[in-house]
Amino acid sequence: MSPCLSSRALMRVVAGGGRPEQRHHAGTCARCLARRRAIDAAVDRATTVLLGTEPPPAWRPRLRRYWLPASATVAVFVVLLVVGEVRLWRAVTPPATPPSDVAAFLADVSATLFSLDPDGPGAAAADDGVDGAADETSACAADPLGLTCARGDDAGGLAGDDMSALDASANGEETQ
Amino acid sequence: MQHAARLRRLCRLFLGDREEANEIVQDVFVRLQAASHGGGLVNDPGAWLTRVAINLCHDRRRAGWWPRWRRLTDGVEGARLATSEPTPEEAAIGRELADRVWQAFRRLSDRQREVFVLRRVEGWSTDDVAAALGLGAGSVKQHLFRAIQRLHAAAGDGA
Repeated sequence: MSPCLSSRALMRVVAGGGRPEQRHHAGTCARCLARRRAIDAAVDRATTVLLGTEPPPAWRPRLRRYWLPASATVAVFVVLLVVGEVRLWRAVTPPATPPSDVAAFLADVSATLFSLDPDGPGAAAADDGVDGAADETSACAADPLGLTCARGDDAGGLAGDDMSALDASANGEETQ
Repeated sequence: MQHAARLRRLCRLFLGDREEANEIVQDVFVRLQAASHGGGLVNDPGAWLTRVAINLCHDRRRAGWWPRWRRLTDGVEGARLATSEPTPEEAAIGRELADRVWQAFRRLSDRQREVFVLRRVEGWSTDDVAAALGLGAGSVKQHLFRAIQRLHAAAGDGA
């Protein structure tokens, strides 16, 4: 094993440190002495550069130094915000499928309001006469707003004696 | 005058900015004048000035984010243009080596930079540096070792 010092140990000696035997060796061994002088020369060269040249613009390292942690903090904050928001939304959003009775009620309402079929439930009630009137009473009971009752009442009024009178007058006009 | 040039050089190395170094040196001499008017005795003006300059550089570096940001965004006039002619020293040294050394020097911690400058540039003894910076002698040697390691890697033949 070579008794010569490592570069690290030599640099410690150059810095004024190291163990006494290392310092002694660095001063007596020709090889280590030459390496020590090379280190000294390199450090002197660095000193000359520092004293003889203008520092290059420092904005890049500084920006890197300060913007990197700042951007990382902002990114972490945004991620936390998004995760928190998602969890909050999941907590307060009702289930996607409504209960079955609500769905049935909505289907009834949409069928009643938006039906384009003339032979639909409302038309059938108008044509059926007494049966229709019976249906109307049940429809009125089921429709507290009177949307379907109003139509049913008009139809029901025509369903009884007035209907036969209309028929008679029509026949009279035809014979004349 | 000799102290002014030395302190300017010192502060420029600590702060990396010529303008700031000039401001600090002015401040140092204002304090010296105030100290001598106040009846305070300054036995060793060189050491006293250096110590005050180091402390002021410390304060400047510890300034909050706004002064730093302002300095960063202010320095358009002071910035060296990429096409500017190199000084004779720079021409002799080589821009690439200079950039490498400055980069390594900037990566040193504040303490390492201070110890290196006082020991290797100013030529102070380890004990004087330790006393000026309020460190132990072992700590000064350790900081100097780290600084030498980095700068040797940047300026050595194999770099």
